Amino acid sequence: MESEDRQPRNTEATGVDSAHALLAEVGTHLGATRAHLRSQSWQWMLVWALVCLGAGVSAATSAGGLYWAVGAPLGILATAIVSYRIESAAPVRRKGWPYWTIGAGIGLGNTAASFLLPDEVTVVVVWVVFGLGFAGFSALERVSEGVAVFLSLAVIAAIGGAVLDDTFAWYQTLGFIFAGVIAGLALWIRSTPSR
Amino acid sequence: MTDHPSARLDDTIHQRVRLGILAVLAEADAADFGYLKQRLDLTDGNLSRHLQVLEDAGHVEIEKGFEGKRPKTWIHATRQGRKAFSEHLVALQQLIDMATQRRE
Repeated sequence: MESEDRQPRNTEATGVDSAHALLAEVGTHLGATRAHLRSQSWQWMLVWALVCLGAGVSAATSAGGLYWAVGAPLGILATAIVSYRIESAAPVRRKGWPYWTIGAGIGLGNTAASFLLPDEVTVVVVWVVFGLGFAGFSALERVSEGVAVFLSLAVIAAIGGAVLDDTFAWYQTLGFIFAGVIAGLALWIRSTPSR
Repeated sequence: MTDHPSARLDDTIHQRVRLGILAVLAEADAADFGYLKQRLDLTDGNLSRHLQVLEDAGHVEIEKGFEGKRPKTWIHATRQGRKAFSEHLVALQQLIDMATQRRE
């Protein structure tokens, strides 16, 4: 402790200034790399905005019940193609498995719900699972606004499902809401400068 | 044994370019040579030299390969490199906090 106290003030100031400068520089590199990685995500997000839009539109038709049997696999296929394209061109990358794990969780959660729960409950669970899943994706992208928005949507979906009589109409409304929110977030990410 | 944060600074990474390399690799799981060169504004030789120091210390791994016909070099931070980087940042922050407290 004595030696610390004897340390000349100007030496200490230089060390602290240098520490400040290093931390500031580290922050710049972290931020720029994060923005660079995030700047590509809007592509697969738009795919899922379209899938959700399709759910909202098809809910009014006789094909509504079967929509996910086609929409979800097409969305997954499109996501795989977009991700492969992004990964081969990008100079920086993250591990893909956390994204695919969340995607599989969404798929399994909704499939299990459709087998185990009555239809009027399943149509609400779909959006609760989607909300939680997209909150997870947003967390991986370090977009805290996205985490807050999707967790709120999951809660709103659950509350609406519990209090509203017509859960099928609620399902359709949520389809449009999710499509709008995901598309909005995708466009916001796209417009955020990456450097 | 001293508890001063400066004693916990890692000499290998307490260098702005090497700290910058680890910052990029802390955010991304892998970065290619060209990205690091551009991000850190370095020449090929200079970046190679710093990467060699980090690789020798076990902080990064360098993977050379091809993408199509073009050679591509990917750099990953090792678990040890990530740990050293985060501990280094904590030590730097503690150093600043300690000096700020003394001034007050």
